[in-house]
Amino acid sequence: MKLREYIFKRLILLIPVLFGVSIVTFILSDSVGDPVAAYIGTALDKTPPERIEQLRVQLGLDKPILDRFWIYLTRLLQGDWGRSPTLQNQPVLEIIADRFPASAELAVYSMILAIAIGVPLGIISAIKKDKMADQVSRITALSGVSMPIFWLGLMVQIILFNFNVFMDGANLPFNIPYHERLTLNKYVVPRTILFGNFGATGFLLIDSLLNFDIPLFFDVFLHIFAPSFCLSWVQMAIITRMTRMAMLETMKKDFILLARSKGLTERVIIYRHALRNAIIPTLTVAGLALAGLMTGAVLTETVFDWPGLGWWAVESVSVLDTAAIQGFVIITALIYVLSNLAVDILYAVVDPRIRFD
Amino acid sequence: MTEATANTQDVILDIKNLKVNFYTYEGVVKALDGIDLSIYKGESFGLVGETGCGKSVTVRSVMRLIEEPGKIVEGEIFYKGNDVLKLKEKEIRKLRGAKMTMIFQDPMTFLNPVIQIGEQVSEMFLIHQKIQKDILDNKKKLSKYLKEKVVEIFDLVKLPDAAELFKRYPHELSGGMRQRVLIAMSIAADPDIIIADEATTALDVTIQAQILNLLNKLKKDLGRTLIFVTHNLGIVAEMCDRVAVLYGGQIAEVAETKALFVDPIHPYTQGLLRSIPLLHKPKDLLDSIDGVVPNLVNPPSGCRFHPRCPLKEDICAQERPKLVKVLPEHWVHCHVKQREYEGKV
Repeated sequence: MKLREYIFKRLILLIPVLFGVSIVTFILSDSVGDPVAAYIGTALDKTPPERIEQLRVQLGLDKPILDRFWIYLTRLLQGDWGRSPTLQNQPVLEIIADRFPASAELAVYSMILAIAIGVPLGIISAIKKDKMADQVSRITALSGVSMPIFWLGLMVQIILFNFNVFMDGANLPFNIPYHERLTLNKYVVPRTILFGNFGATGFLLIDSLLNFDIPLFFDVFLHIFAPSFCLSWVQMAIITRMTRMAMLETMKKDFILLARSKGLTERVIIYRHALRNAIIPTLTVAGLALAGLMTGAVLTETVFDWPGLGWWAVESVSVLDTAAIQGFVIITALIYVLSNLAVDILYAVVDPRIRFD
Repeated sequence: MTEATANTQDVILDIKNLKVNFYTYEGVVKALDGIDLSIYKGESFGLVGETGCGKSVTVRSVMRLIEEPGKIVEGEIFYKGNDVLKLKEKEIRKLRGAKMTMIFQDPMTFLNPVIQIGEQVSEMFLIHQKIQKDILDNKKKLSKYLKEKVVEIFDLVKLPDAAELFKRYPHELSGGMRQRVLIAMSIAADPDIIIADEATTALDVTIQAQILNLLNKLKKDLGRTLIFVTHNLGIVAEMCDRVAVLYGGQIAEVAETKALFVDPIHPYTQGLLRSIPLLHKPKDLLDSIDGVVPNLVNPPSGCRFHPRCPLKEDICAQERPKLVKVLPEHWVHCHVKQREYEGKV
């Protein structure tokens, strides 16, 4: 099977999966509580029953469940995902369009960091098994998995704050920030600059470059550094251990012995012959982790005031904001399915045997 | 060294008192216990024995491919007068693939599944052959040159559609084709010694015959030394000029193939040959050698074969026999037989 056919087949399969997800989210959100309560909030006791009844009709809650599902589904396809009382009754789709890029940018950036550090570290500790380098990387990895991320975030903030105070006299052209996405141009949202309402990508690092706004790029870069460092530390730990294990496994394979018998140098054996075989489990872990991060790293986003999906999702669950929950779940499912697809395609690129299964 | 220098021109590979241990959790496996072998230039030499007797370990030691937890603890291996075991890692890499190559047992697992076949073979040319500088600097020229070379070598091992095979992956080929690819790889850099480590065991009989013919032809045409490692006595009888029989990490007998098959001297070799079923002499019960293969963590003292040997004497358990020439070109590792043949050389 050609790679293109494989991708096409997988994309077609998305349709039934997403339909299934929409059924499940609808039933679940319908059965957990009364959506009217979310609209009224704490004033429930003082609201007259007529008003509640009126709201029920307005929200379509008086209709039979199948009708309601149909309405929900058509609205979903039309792009009317309801409004979220959690955020001043803004349309859900707009909130997602606004906040998703923030989460995604943070996720992608920290994943790149995690892979860039984790994979080489894993390789080194596999090659130097049980030697000094392996022990150092083991401790590094252990520190990553055992530090709670909110604690790590707070520590990083404290260090950055002290650093800024300490460097105060040095007249640096910048402070290292530890809040939000940007300080410069705070009220000129860069997505309105060049590409109309939705911006080019919503990724500020990319958008600022597209607009040749170097100070903005620099500002955004400084902002994303601290939260992505915290996030990537944990992922890096997992990736390191995964790569190490897979490398150790691969280095015992017969084809490595053959490569040795050919007179290849250890370097070529490791990077050309072993790594491509060993990288597959790492890809799986990284792909799933990336999806998890994209849908919002709640703790990190809270610690660093990052305007992503995570905070909004948690808030809307706690006040039973049905429209928001449904929208969030659909987006989450979509991201997971797409990232799984991306991982599978990468498999097929790395390992030619998979294309034929 | 005195013996070796006497006929250095003939001897291409001289193994002396080779000992290899494997340090496992169950204890130290003494896989090779003092192997002495001389292999002549241009011959095809067979190494036979049961599974676990140390055939593969011997040839892998020659290329220094013993991996953890294995270790070569003692001995010398002379290739053209140089001790392979004393070479630096960088120097041994220049021997591997260029001077000695190995064709491995299982064509299914010894090719890298994620690299195109042509690329895997062209690595041999890249690292072991001097390529003109103007070709090496030009990427397009280089890939064209390598492809030509690979197609040439594929034709030599009779792989069909050589040009088309270049871009294929190992899983797209049959077992026989993969084995041919392995052979192509092993002869690519024109080595002196080709070691076939059970190279045909995984193949069915017709393919096996084709591969053996191919190897034989390569040996004759290119004048290379072939070392066959196998437990298949039929292949040995067919292919080899001389044979060494291994038992439990020791050499039992070395002789010319015909002499060994017609008139085996060592009791183990005799037992081994007796246990081959013959079509024209049907038996109710097949012959076998009594007892079991020794545990090499705690091997029998003296001659390792003595617990199973029909000729066993007291001395066999106490003292290890030497490998002694009892007839011209015929060495035996046995106290009893050495006494019997004393003075016949």
